[in-house]
Amino acid sequence: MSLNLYNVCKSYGEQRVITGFSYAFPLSGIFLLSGASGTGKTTLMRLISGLEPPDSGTVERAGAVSFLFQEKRLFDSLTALQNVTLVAPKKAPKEETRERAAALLSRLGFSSDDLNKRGNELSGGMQQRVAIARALFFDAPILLLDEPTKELDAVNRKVIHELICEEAKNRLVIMASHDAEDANLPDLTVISLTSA
Amino acid sequence: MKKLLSLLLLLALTLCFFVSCKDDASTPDNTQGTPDASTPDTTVARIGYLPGTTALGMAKMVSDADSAYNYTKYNGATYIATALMNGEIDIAAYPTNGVPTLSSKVTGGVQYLAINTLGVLYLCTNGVTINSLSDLAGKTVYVPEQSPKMILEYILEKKGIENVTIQMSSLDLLPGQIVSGENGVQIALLPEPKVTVAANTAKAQNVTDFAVSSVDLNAAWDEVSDTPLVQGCVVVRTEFAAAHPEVVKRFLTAYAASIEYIKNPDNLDAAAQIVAATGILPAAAVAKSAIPRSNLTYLAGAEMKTAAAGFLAALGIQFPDNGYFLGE
Amino acid sequence: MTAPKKLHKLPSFIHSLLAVLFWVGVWWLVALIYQKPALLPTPWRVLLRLVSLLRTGTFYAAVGTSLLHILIGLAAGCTVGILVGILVAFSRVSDTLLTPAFSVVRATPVVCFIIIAWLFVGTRALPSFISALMVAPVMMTSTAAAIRSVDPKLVEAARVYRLTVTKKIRALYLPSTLPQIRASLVTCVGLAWKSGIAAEVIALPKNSIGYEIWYEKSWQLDFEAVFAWTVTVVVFSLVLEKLVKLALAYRKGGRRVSQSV
Repeated sequence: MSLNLYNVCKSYGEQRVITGFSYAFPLSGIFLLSGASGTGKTTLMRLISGLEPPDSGTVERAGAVSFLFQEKRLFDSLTALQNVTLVAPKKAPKEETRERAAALLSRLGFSSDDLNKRGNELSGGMQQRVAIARALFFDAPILLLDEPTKELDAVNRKVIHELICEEAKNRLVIMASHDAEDANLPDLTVISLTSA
Repeated sequence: MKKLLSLLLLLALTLCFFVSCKDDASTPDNTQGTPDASTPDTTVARIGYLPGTTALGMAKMVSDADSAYNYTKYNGATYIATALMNGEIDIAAYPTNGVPTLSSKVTGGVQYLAINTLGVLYLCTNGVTINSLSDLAGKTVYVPEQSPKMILEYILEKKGIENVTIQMSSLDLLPGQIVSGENGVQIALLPEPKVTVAANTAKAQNVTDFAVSSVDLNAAWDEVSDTPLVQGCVVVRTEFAAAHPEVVKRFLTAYAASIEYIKNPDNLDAAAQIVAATGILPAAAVAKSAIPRSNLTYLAGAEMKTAAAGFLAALGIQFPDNGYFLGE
Repeated sequence: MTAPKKLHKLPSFIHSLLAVLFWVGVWWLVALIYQKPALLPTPWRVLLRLVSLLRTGTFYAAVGTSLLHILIGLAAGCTVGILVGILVAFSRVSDTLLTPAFSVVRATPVVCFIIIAWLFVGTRALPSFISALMVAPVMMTSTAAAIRSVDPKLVEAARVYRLTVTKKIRALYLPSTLPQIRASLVTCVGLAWKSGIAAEVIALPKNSIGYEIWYEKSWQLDFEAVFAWTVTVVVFSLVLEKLVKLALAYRKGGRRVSQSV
């Protein structure tokens, strides 16, 4: 058991967003949260990551949670490479970390010049890929991806899907997406959320 | 268009440059035509004074408000100086040692008219007793700004009293410091009316260690100098004196009488009231103690010239020979 | 319209120079009209007096001493201001206690502080103290504001990725606070300089610019010198501000961050 939610409820003011959600997630695999806007996909992810506590119910997690946010949330003053290496653990050897991060980014289509561009110098699609790389690079047993293929062209989407499948072998990947193609990944479990 | 504007500006500035290279016109004098010998000179003399001992002698005149004179009170010596420089006043009460510098700045110079006080400095103590100047040896005396320091140093040097440390402080802070005795201030040299202010404050706060030393600095000065210690005076713009000798003479007569009145111990209460009413000292209570300690006097003519010359020489202040002294 | 285009191509310091010349011209005219040279000297006479001051040793001693003391005060005040700003941004208790105190300091006229502080701090330390006192609240407010203005979404991201304090400072806080601090520092330099000199004119520490100004006014009645000293103070104020702008425009490694600082 990597992540266990039991009877979780969350409201924002009058609005009850999540009512009585329960699920026991395994240690690995891909899960897709699907549902219309406003059904609480992002809220659920926030509860899983521990950014907010549920109003009632429990969230048990086996370890840290990595989160790809909908709004990317890059550190604009750092370079693409630095944004990724930033999340490496303190004790990790610097040179090795940098090489791994560079390799990951180059797989996502970054040239060596691109690596040194600052966050605000990158295009929207490139920023999205840096955010993904960062989320993947962070060493955590649970990986949350909120709209991972947003703003990406077909080529990059394919690379992302490959990466997600690889990651899902070793860790729990939970995605939220509107994109129909995301639903076509192999070995995918769909969790449908409906409004309260 | 903008380029044209810049060029015009430069032209204007160049014109200004040439215009200002001509000599500046001299400040207008207070002349309503030089009167001839037969008709009396009715020019109103404009007199300036500042709060403090230099104006004490003038108090009765100011209070009487004779229409022949026009009085203005200034808040500091610098303002009186600028008024004289602008030709706004003709006669002023002023510290004696400041006159040479003043004269160099006023168009046509100024002259001493009369001395109005002798020395107004006293030693105040907190926690020590000073009965004579030799008691100062090995001690530290706090003095404000410039002329008190020069006066004390002159006396000590001439009397051969050595090993006295002189520390500068500010005239605003020193009375408070000697009354509270803070920072080790045990001996302070203060001028009136600050001496009275300190003494009154010490009494109000019950500081029993405070005392005004009985050492008479005027007597000490007289022991080492041929001429007396003359700290306060009255000056006149030389141009005015040359144009209206009668007015000046009349002024001096009235002035001598005013000094006599204020100085007379029988009139002390009334004098103190007048001094407070004219704003020369802050309150009648202060005036009552300050007037006797201010050693009012009236020296004019040759006596004044010798006294002033001796005083300036002792302090090492330069002055050219003639032109500062009325008479002769 | 070719003329305006050419004018705008002139370097900006020519614009400033023309402006200065214009106002000097106005000064000159007013001095000539007013006709009281002892009180309002012409720019030319002030320049001559300044040149003669530059030949004296006391000029350099005074400028050096004042600069040293005021810069010390500036450094101390900025440090305290920044530290308190950081504290106040993260601790609500500190905010409740300290922010009103600094607001009061900010609202009090300099002169009141000069007179009160003089009693406690003494003549020699007063200029440094006053400079520090004037500068600290400004630095505190802008540091705190800068820290508070960091995007809360980025703060969340930092939380999720378990960033250490050092990393958070580097990625999150430094980028947004540095520009603010830079801008405030330029203001503070001028503020420290002016209020420090004001303190000197009242407390009259030996060998300071304030002392010289007072001395020329009270003892020498030399108003040309007072004007000349004033010009000196203004020039130094502008030079110091410019120096601070230049110094802060460079990042580590000498790369210019922005031209328009």
